[in-house]
Amino acid sequence: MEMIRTDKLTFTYPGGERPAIEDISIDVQPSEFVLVCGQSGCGKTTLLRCLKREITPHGNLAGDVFFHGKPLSDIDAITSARGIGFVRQNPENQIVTDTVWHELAFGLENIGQPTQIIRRRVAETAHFFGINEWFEKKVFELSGGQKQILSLAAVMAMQPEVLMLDEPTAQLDPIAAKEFLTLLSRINRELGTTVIMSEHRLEDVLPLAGRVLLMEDGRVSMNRDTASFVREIAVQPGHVFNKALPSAVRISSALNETGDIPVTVREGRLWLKARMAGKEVAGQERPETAPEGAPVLSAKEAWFRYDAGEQFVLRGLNCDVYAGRMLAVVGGNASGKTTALNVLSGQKTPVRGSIKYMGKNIRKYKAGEIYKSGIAMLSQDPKTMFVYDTLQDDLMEAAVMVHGKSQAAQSVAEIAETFGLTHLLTHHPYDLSGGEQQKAAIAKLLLLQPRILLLDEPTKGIDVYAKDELAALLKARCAAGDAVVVVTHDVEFAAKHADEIAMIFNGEVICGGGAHSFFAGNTFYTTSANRISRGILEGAVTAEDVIELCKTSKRS
Amino acid sequence: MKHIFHIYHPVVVFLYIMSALILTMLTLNPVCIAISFLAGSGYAIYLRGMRKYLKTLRFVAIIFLIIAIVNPLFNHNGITILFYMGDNPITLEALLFGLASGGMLASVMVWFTCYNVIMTNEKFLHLFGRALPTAALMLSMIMRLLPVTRYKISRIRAAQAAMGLNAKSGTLRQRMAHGVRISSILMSWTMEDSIETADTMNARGYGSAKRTSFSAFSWSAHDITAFAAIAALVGGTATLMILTLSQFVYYPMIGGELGSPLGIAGYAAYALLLCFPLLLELWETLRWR
Repeated sequence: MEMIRTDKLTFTYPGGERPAIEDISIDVQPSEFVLVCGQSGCGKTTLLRCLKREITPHGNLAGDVFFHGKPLSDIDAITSARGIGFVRQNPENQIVTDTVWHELAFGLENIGQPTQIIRRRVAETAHFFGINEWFEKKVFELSGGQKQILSLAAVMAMQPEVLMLDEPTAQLDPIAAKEFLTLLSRINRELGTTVIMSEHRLEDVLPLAGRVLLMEDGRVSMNRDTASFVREIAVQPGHVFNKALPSAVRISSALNETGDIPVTVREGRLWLKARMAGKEVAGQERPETAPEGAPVLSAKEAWFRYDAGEQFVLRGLNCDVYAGRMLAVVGGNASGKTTALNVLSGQKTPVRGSIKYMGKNIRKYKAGEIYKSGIAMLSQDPKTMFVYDTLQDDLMEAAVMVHGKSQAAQSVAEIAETFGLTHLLTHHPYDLSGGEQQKAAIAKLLLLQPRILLLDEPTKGIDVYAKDELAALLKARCAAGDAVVVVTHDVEFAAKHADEIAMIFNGEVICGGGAHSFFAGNTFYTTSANRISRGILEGAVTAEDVIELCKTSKRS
Repeated sequence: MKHIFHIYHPVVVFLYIMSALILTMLTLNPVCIAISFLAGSGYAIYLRGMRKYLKTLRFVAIIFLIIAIVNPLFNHNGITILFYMGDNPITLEALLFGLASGGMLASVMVWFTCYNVIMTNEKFLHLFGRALPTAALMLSMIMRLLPVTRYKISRIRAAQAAMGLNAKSGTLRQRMAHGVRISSILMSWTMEDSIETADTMNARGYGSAKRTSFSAFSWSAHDITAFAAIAALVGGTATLMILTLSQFVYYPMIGGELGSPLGIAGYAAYALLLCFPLLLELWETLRWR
């Protein structure tokens, strides 16, 4: 019998004009791995929450959900709590207690398990998830990736039959995301737990899933096993979802491929090799323009540490930022990327070395002077920027600071128009989606008319469509002559949109230069498209490059 | 650095640290105060390092001085008059009593820094969690919220400063306005997050049955030995304190013997008790030689 079945499930939020999800009838078999995907706002989260009784949102629910053939509402509280596990996006907010071991025990305590059983479950779970080494730590000492693994383990300690996850890797860096997904696939394969997961980072997830549900506007528009899903979507290169697919699928789909569609990098390589056999490879010369003029912002031999006696985070950082260019600062966790941004923005003062803004030492400017019509910085949490009850008021505040009262209303209206935020002006900033919040925060910063825009992880947690919009906005600033610096984990974003790259390792910039040549020269730290085409097509970095090269190469 | 008490049962650790605190508070015998201060300082340095200890000491010294100065100014008991301040006699006895109570309070504060290290939140929860499961969970949640809130405040400050709204500069009025801004953002952010936390608690069955309280601690042989040793030392010290050590008085004149044989035995028991964890550490170190 199916594990979970829904029958014509429709849900409308209070005051909503139309249902958030509509007429959804799906069934999930035991031990299946189902991937739910679709654009932001398509109803993925609502659907998942409707399948878990305790967190079903308030609103008008029609249709039925069955768990083991029984209506969800008829199941007793304990069976419901332990039978269906739920992991959410934000690692910070789903941890309840202050220590790792207590967090693992929390759910079991709730359902009244005796100490002996809890002890055993906690030990087993910690062992399965490799938590032993940080078992006694405080939750606050953990990295984001560890926190998310802890949340997963804490849910698994209750031995659920179904595990539901709502974009669990959206807030994680790529390495942590892969580690998380590896554990998830082990849960599915080694324990046979049914997994239902929503995700927009498909590159790594698609190969794990057995079945894909594609949602559009609150409805399930496709419900196929993964292979046929890929085959079907591959013949529609213009499909709106195409952008979100793994590079291998996108490349083969753009070339109107028939037969088996590659999904992973390995399959992509094999496929590309076969396709290019006996063909002459047109070399791709991509002229990279060098930056012109003097840097508007530069760090010279900057050393920094947070406290005397601690390790240096920056060890002789050299970095130049030019007007009209987008610089992407990349590197692993704790490499000093964010610190570099704080030092460049003048918020932290290096203990040695200097930061120059417009050729003058940043310390020589008066407090606050550089932030008006100068440097603006977007922190990782856009929520730190909003004070008022409506977006309009928040934007007005920034506008008044620079434009004066008379001009302010007009400049707010203009920027809202450019950013596509006009219809959201009366909303509370917290009610916007992740991507919208990001845009609103940038709009607020731009009202201060900065010449240099520094952004910390702006692509975190937003989907591929929002990323493209963001990139367009940033490029427009560059075209207008401003400088943009983006600190990011997102290799694909950097490769596609940045002019220059600075890679930070162990507190210093170890290599950099033009974005294209940087990624073309790397082996590990590069895009999927580059890994697919390495040695077959030279100098291809993005999926578009590969497609272009394949189309232009002729049979020799 | 992990200290040896880390592996001991909460009851043992609680017995030790509470005895140290209470015995310190109960006696004003100068030798006992000196023993307590030295032993407490030694343990605090071992647990937290010299740098943090000296930081605490700076604060402790101020309290000590205030009490030592204020007592003779306001307390005119005692018969040995040193000099007059206005019409008020300043007596030797009151001065010594001030020094002793200052020293006692200083020792208590030093012991509290040790308490904070060895009586971890988990140990505390184990002791009181069964009786008060809801309070225990709340405490644990608050302990998580503290660092999270501190982190959020620093993030909000930084983001606001990057808009030229720095809470550290400007007139008092401006700075107060910035303070209000920061707390207002913090409130909205925390409320928003707590909705998610509440959801996740429900999802994990909070309230679906009567909660149990899990603890990772159990009694083992070394706990029982240590418990017996500490209890014996506490009993011995307390008896000897009542018999001899507390005979020492300050008013109206300094009286009582400090060096009787029984008294010396009392000091020895007291010192042994207070140094118990340090001796355990020493023994542990020697065993690995």
